[in-house]
Amino acid sequence: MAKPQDDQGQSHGTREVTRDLASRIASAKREREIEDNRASRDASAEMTGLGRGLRIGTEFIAAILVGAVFGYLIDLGLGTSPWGLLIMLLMGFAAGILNVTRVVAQMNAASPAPPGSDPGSEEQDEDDNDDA
Amino acid sequence: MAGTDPIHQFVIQDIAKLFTLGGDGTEGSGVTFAFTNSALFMVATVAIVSLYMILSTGAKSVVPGRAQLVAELLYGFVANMVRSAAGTAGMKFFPLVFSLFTFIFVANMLGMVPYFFTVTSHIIVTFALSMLVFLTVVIYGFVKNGPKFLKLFIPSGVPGYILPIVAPIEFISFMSRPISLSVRLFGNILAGHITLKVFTGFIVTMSSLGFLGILGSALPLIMAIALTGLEFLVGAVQAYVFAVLTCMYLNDAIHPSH
Repeated sequence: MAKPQDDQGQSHGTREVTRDLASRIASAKREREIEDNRASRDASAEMTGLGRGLRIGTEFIAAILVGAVFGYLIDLGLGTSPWGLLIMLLMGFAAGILNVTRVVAQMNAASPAPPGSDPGSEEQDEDDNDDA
Repeated sequence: MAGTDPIHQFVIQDIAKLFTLGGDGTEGSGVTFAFTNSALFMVATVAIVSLYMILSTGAKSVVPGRAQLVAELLYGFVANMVRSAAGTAGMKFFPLVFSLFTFIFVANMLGMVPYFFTVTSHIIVTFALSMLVFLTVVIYGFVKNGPKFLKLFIPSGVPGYILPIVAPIEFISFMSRPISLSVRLFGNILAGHITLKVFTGFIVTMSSLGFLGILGSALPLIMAIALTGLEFLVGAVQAYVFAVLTCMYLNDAIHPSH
């Protein structure tokens, strides 16, 4: 009679140890994630305002240039001047906006708003709800 | 005013003429290949990086010395960058990213030494580097994923009837990558070095104006010292940015659907 009880006790203990280990792994993972986030935030803070501006600027201009060159080549090849250049220039403009939104989204993801900061939109939303 | 000409530092000079392609044999005809000062500093950069990595890790001690520690930290830094941006599958591109990062970093740092030539201040050099990345992404993407690589231009969840508009925009956005990559590095380095030269030029011109000028030249001197520090930072940050973006573009080649 004593043996199964002992077994049960042992398995109970093992389960507890496993759960303890799992929670420790989870907390370590969480800490690691926080550390990683902090590291990436530091890296983005290291990037100066000039660097950030140049990054966004080049992304925008490069897309427009590529669009214009494509349009020019299409015109050269098909003899559709000036429509290829006009349309592809606008397409390049759209691609530039796409590039910029991607870069900014990525910059925002790399450095989320500090916990104490007030985005300021929530209270306004509440006010709107009260009015309505 | 040759001494304070801010553009003079970027002039390419032939050190040794190698051979001429085409032309009719007369002076100035055909394309002459020469070993230039730019090539000299590229060779110097590669030599410094290779020699440092080989010599510092040659001892292979379990407890690293100072030189080996720096080499190991550099490895860990780039390896973390590749893993976080492109995943473990991206580690097969670690040699490429590591070479690019160390080459640009050391070239920028060499460029900060007075009278030295800055390799990355010429757009053809940075463009060649970015085309290397771009062609790697395209070729590897097609070899690994086949036609599925084209899914890169089709964002998920976009209804079919606006695909004719979205796909070309995505395509142009993709094609603009090597340009923005090269222009960013080139622009940062070029602008920084010109600003530095202009401010140090002010010191020379002001101090030739007499006593008050010498007193006043302290202001551009302070500025030049601050800019020198900033330029070291910019050189390092731009090498880092180039490497990170390389990893992100490689990530597109490894996992093309986004």
